[in-house]
Amino acid sequence: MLQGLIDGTINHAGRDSTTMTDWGLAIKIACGGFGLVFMLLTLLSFSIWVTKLILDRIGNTDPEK
Amino acid sequence: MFGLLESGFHYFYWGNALMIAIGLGLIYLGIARKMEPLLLIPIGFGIMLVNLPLGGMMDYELLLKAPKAGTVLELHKGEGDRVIRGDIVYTLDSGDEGTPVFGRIDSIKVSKGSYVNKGDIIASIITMEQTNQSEIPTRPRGLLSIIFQFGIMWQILPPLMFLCLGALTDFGPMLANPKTLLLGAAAQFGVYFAFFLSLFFGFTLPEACSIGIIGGAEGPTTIYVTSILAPHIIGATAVACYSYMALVPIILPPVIKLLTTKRERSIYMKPQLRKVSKREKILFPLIATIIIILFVPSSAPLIGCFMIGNLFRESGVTERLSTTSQTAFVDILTIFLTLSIGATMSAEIFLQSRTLLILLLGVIAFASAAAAGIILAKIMNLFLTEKINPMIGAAGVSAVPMSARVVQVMGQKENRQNFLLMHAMGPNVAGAIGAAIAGGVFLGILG
Repeated sequence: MLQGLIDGTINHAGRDSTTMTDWGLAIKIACGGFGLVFMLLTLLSFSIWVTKLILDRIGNTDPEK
Repeated sequence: MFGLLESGFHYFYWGNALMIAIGLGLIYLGIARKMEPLLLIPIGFGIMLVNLPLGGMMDYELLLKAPKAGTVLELHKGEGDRVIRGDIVYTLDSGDEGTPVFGRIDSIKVSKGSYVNKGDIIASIITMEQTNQSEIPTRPRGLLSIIFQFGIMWQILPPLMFLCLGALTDFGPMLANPKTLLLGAAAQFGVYFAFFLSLFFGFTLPEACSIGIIGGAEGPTTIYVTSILAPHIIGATAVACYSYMALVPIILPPVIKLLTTKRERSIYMKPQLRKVSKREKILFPLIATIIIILFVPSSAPLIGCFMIGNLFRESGVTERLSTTSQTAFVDILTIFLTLSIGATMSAEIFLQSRTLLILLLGVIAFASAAAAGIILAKIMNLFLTEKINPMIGAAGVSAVPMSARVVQVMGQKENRQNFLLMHAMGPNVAGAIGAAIAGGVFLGILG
């Protein structure tokens, strides 16, 4: 779905800066972009939490010197 | 001068004087007020250099070529004449031909009445305009234009700068409290809000992306995105970003006070964050690189460089690389980057109404980023048993570490027992990652 969003917008965007604003594309960029950033950082946050769990479980958590 | 040397007085006008005053103002802020001196002083000096006419430091040469074969009927400009975009330079029997850039005529290669073939050089124009090289190719001739062309337009300096920032960044506070990543994510709302507003003001999609990314409060990201999408406004966006990063102590407090109550600002957060292990700090840049670049491949130069720099810092076995990245290397890059960015701000480029709009939109981007972080923090408090001080949401504006310091100072004013600095550093560094991802998304769609 994400790849479809990106492919669709690349086909629309082009490099012609003289065309009028495509508000549909702009909304896709804004909502899709913000959603993607938020999703990725949430995923990263989850990954950090999981990494800590795994490290605690294998018992190799060394306190920082 | 005495028929031997051409002075700059003939070309000096009020615009140059105003820009020199602006450059001196930035230098004053850097030296006297100690506001981001490492950035504002070279930027200010670059502005001064480029607005002293005939200095040549930011010159590009554009060769005006005949679009069709024909006879030169008339030459409307001579050597040394100033031109603006659209000025008619010569007339062929097929029609008038104008210049696509502002500047001055350096030399005329043909004479009236001569026959030219398609592609023959008619004249060379010296300009300081940053053009889309695929549409209007130019050749850099000055010291700073060469650094700008091959350092910034070739996208070398900004990612390397991000490498150094990665080496300087401690992700410990963020790893100790991973939910602060969400606050950094929320702050990227400022990017998209400014993006939308820019479109309303008539900017094109690429320009709106370049203006919106100012809200990420990351200089290298702003320069990197703008150099690809809208190089003609790189001076304005970079100066807006760096200036507002220096002005964070002025921009953030009113936003924080508007969106929080005194009681909320007094929320106590335990000063002791959990200890983060060395293994976690080593694994984080590796995991982040894989996850982010798989989803957003176009963020690879920024995220990849950021994380390798951080790995140099955390691995414990690349001390030399880490030390170099944090000291000499970052200083060299700062000099090249800021001096050449300052030199993009000639009067002809900067003194346009759209520059003022960009500056206005930049401050809106910063303010809305802070607001979004605060609002998300307040929403999170509805679900958390151990409340977070919503002010740390404002530190998602990733002017590291200035935003976090502002939050610390404001927290101390409300409650002297409250030490929020390390808590605020979490969203602060998360915002840097978020800004790089946001930049990558823009480039992936429009680059």
